[in-house]
Amino acid sequence: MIEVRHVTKTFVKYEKEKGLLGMLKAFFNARKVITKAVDDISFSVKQGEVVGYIGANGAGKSTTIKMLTGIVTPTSGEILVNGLVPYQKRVENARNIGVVFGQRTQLWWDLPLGESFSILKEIYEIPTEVYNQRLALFDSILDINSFIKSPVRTLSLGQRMRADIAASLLHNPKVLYLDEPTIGLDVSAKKKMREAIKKMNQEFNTTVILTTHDLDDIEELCQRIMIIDAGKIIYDGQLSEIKDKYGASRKIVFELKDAWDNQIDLYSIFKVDQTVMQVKADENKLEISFDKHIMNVAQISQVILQMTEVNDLAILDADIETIVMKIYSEGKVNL
Amino acid sequence: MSRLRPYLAFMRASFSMNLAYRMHIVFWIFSDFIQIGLMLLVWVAVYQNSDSALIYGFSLNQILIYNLIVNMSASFTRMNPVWDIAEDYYDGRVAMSLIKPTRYITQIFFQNLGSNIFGNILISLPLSIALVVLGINHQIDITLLSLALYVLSLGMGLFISFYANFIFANLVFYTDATFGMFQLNEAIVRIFSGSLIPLVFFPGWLKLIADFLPYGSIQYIPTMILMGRITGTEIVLRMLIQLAWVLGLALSAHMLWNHSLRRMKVHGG
Repeated sequence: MIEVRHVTKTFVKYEKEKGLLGMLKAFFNARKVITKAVDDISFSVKQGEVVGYIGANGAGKSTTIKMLTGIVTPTSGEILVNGLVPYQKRVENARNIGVVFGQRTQLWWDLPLGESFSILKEIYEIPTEVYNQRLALFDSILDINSFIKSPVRTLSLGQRMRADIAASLLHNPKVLYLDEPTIGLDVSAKKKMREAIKKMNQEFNTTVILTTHDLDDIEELCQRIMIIDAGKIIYDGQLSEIKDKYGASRKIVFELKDAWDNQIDLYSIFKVDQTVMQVKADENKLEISFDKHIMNVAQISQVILQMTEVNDLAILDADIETIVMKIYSEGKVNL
Repeated sequence: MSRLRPYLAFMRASFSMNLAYRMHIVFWIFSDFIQIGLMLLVWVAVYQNSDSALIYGFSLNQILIYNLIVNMSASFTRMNPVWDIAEDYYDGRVAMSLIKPTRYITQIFFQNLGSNIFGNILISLPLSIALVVLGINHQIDITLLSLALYVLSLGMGLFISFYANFIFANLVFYTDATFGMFQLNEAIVRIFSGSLIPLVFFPGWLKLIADFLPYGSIQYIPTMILMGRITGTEIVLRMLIQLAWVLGLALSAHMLWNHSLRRMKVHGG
């Protein structure tokens, strides 16, 4: 369905120095700065797959999506979506895809929502019968009819995003690209969005690529994730695999009565090194992360409780969020 | 014609958007009429203080009629893609257009046509026709042929207006000085399209500049055809020049757009 081979995208920016003089200088001789937004990435996605595409801000997610939709032309490499090169056949490709950019809307701001939908019906040349069926389906999942007569600018963010996802699916696209579709939404709106995505994937075998910072989205929707960092894909595989590997980590946070004495060498007390256990002390707070297959909570807390007076302690299991944070900070995935 | 369907939808959208802001447009049109009225008064003053009854072959009545026709023609051919493109450019909203199965320039053209219909045809047309009918007073003979040629010439004027402004709008974004450049564009169009003064009134050197700009082909030529001031083979020649402008500008607009697009897409996350 989607084939991406050795794709790189570089942007040229012109740097200006500060002040009037800098502007003048830049006018005649601007400094060229070349940034690699995406650096030699390759992957393929099968029809009906739901892939979570995650990475920090500026990692290259949006640029990838823009290349897949045909908006941006890669500097080098090849992309095929449903047999078409998107940036060469943008218009043809656009018929097969649905796109939601969470920070923007494709609806007409000053028109009632229903009017926006009927304009999209014309643009995508959707037969009336199919169109009515779709609207009924979306209403049942996303509860759209309650605000279909309101101008788009008066909708709440949650309503607008529900409307936007419906708009992107009206023409039954084969591929759906979602760029941060749940950004800023409350819990119930998020739930509805996820339901709609799931339903479309199950019923119409729609291929979905989803970028998000909300890892609940990923856990609910995706079996496969790709992690991009500084333009490179550093992980592409099953979500469960990552969870197994990194999920082994567990953390105990102690709140101490007095400041922790940094002279104490916990590594030699437990006879382990930093690959098994990591200690972080900050005044009265002591954090110990460890591999739960090798050490356990009882063993550690017993030792600490004997050493010093503890006011409180909390035990944290690694959720996908802390896993991803760890991966970002390391810049690579160790499997 | 089915390929036109998506574009007609864009036209409908911008037409409806304009309806949502109809009072805004009513006031805007009203200010246009005040300006036209002022121009007419200026012309009356000019002729009253002139020694001869004819200036450059125009009598007072004819110059008043010229002004009404040229302004009516201006409202038919008013195409201003600058704001559409400005919005798309600055916040990267162009992405939302590019994910649709339609060509961007064509989309913008129909969007402009949609706002044109409301702002200029629904309001200006009846008023302009009324003004023209009242003003004619048998001063000029409008034949069926000159009317047909006028419509054809005005149609080409519409395309010239769109493409010339489209090109200018794109140039604006290379300078990042949108508002100032926009005002400059308005001033240039106003002078060289003949909507203030007939181009024959220009001194030789200014006339020469005007001849090398496309703006005269937008409303001035159609107006002169309708008034019977251009006749015979000159009509053919002028319309061929119009056609050349349409083709040349369209080609340049497409080429420039492909270049601008690469710049625009960088903006926004």
